[in-house]
Amino acid sequence: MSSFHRRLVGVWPHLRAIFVGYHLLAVVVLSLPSAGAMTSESMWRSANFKADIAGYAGALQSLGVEMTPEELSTRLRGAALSFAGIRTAISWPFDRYAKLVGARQGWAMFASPQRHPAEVNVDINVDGAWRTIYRPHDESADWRGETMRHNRMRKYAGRFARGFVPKNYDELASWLATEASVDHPEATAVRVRLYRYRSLRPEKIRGGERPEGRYERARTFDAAELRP
Amino acid sequence: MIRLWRAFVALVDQREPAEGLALFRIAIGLVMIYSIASMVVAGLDRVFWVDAADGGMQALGGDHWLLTAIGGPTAAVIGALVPLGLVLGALVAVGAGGRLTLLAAAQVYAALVRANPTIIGGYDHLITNALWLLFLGGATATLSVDSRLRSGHWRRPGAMIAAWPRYLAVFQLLVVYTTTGLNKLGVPWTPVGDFSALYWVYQEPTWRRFDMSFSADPVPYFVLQVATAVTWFWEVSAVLLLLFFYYRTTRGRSGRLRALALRWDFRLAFVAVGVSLHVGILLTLNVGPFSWVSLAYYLCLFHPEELAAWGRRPVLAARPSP
Repeated sequence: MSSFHRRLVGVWPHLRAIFVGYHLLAVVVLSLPSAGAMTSESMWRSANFKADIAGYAGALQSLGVEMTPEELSTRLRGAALSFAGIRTAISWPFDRYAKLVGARQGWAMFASPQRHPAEVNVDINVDGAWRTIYRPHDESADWRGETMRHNRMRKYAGRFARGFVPKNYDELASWLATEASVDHPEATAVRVRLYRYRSLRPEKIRGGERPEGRYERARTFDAAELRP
Repeated sequence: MIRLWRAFVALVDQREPAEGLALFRIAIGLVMIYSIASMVVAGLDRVFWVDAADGGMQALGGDHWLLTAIGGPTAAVIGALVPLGLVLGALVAVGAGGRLTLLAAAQVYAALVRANPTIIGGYDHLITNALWLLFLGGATATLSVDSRLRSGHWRRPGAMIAAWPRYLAVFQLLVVYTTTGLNKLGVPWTPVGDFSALYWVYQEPTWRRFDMSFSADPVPYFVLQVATAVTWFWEVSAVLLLLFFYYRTTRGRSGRLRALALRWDFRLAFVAVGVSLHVGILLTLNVGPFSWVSLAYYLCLFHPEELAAWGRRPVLAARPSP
């Protein structure tokens, strides 16, 4: 055994421990909320997030701390920006490693349950009348149900309630319209809309109320133009 | 400080029977197959992972080095990566091809899901993290085709591997739970919001499997309030399970908590809550293979000899398990 090999054998357990320590640090640091997640404009503007802020402001007020939701939001935003700066600074030694080996982190799951859902609806126009062919959880409008119920499609469509990105929505609407126009040759037009409503508190549902909302973000397509 | 470092080096130097990581490998291979195959069955692989210029739904770039190197998310590239990913998932499950297969599986799976970052889920990260740890651990040493070819046995007698990749898998699982708990800052997860989070999850259409309006009735609502509180507390405190492992590793020392950890196997309580939570998710929500991949990590909570003992009799042997 050469002297180099002997030295390597001696130092190997320490090198391995350094790597394991580095990996542990990477997991911890990268698991902290990312700067993008904390400072996202669409998140701070969303009805869900505003409801959370209002809830905490109300709790503070009940404890005698006079603070409006706007004031609390401003303070939290400042703190989030500071934390985002720190997060970015301490994560750089690990970012490339995580991307290269697949050790990415990020575990904000059901962080704030959605109370203002937006359902994707697809309608076709036949003989001048609109008919809904897809609506979530509606057996009478279950066009491409298996595709629409896949968890990745759910994730994609569910994003529009949390933070509306026009590019993503337009791409989905265009794709749905193209597929619907092919599957329904009788249709003259296809319309994709979001049905947005506020989920009801349990006592209201017990009282027989059902959520009522409004349609928005309608995109209408000429079916003939979409067919190949 | 030097003593602490030596203890850490000694911990990383530990070896253990290879069956534990092998079982984890088999489970991860199956989850990888499920994740990719479900996209194919739903007809979404070419919709979500292929660029719009080539027939997909979105204008995509993809941000993974492998995907970029082979031409980006074109129909031809994704058309090759999807079957390759399925084959690699199968090779991971049967343990063929050694570390090379595990590394290739991690990179191909990451390349596929990174084709469209807007639909990546936590389970994708858990899968690629697991594959990296399996690569580091050389997880095909036993219960594998490799073992059969090298030793003539599917289960190679006396096969030993480094224990630290399994320790890292445990750490990864506990960090996932604790940080997801800490991220749950929405009012409904707290007493301020009446511990109503799970109720609201079941009211919106995105993830639920079926109509859950019955959860507004007093008894189901109360059950969901309790489940919300338990879920949040259990997630946030998950990382404390590391103390259990520490106390069991240093069983020669004194202390009340250590004595408690030696007397009670807190992992079983942790696993009982975790399995209940994931079974509940599987039954009521469609969040893809998240529960399956999480439960796969649970195998790493136990020493391989405990798993072997469990296989022989349905009672977990009480033994030190770092």
